[in-house]
Amino acid sequence: MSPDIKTRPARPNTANNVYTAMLALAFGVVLATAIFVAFKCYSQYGSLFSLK
Amino acid sequence: MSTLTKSFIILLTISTLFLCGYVVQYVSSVSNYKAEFEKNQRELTARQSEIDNLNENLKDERNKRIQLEDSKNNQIAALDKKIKELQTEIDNLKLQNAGLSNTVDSWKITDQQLINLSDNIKDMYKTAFAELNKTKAELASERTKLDETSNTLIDKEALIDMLEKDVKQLTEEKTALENKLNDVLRPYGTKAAAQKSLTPQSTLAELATADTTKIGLKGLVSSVDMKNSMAQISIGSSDGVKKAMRFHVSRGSEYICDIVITDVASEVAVGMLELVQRQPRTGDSVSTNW
Repeated sequence: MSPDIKTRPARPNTANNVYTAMLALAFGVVLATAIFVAFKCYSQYGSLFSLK
Repeated sequence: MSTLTKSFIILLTISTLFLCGYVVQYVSSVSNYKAEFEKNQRELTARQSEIDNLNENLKDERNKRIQLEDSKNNQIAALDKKIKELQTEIDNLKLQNAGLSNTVDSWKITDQQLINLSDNIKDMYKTAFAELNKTKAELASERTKLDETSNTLIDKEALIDMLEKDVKQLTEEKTALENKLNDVLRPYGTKAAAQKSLTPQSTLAELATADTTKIGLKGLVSSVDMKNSMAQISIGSSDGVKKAMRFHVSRGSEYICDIVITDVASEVAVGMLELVQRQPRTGDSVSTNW
């Protein structure tokens, strides 16, 4: 016999969204930092990885 | 989701935030090394060009300094030569100065002598001035005497004029008497001699004795005319022959005759033969005195 699905209530999953948002924030911060560093390198040295 | 996963997510987020913040801060505060390198490179190039310019300027300055040293050396040599010449001139001037000092000393002595002489002249002037005053007084008295003497002299001059007239008259009479005496003495071959005054001028006149001198004419017989008893002689009026003169004719020491002159020319004279002892011939000697 199959369990009765109607007897179990749905569990809230808001905690998972919070940690996902934290991961997204961390990723966004890393990305913004990489973009900022790349911009600085290009503007000051003319290239990203070598000096002209 | 397990608790470990949650903890890892939280730590990862926090560490990411700190690390990214540090990276952003570092990148923002780090210097632009390329710009600084380019700036330093430009400054280095500028400094290098300045060094080159300074080296060129240094070379130019060295050349100029060498030329200036040469010119200065030449000037120094010329100045040394000039200094030697000036030293020589100074020596000469010192010698001249010594000579001039001696001259000045002699002039000082001369000046002192002149001062003494001036004093003497002043004394002499004072003496002469006193003598002059004395002489003026004497001159005034002498002038008075002179006026008196002048008046006396005027009287004497009038007397002398009278005496001179008498002397002139007597002289004319004397000349007439001498002419008459010569006319008398001429046939005898003599004439009146000049009379010496025996009387001093300040005393009265005295009589003088008459005296004669020989005429002394000599010549030759130039021609003889026995028919008319006349002869011509070789001297005439230019030699002093006058009419009535008597010439004695001789031949050696022998007396021949006399010739009394009757006519006289300038170079010859003609006369009558008298006291003929022998016949006269041309060439016989004639003379006024025997």
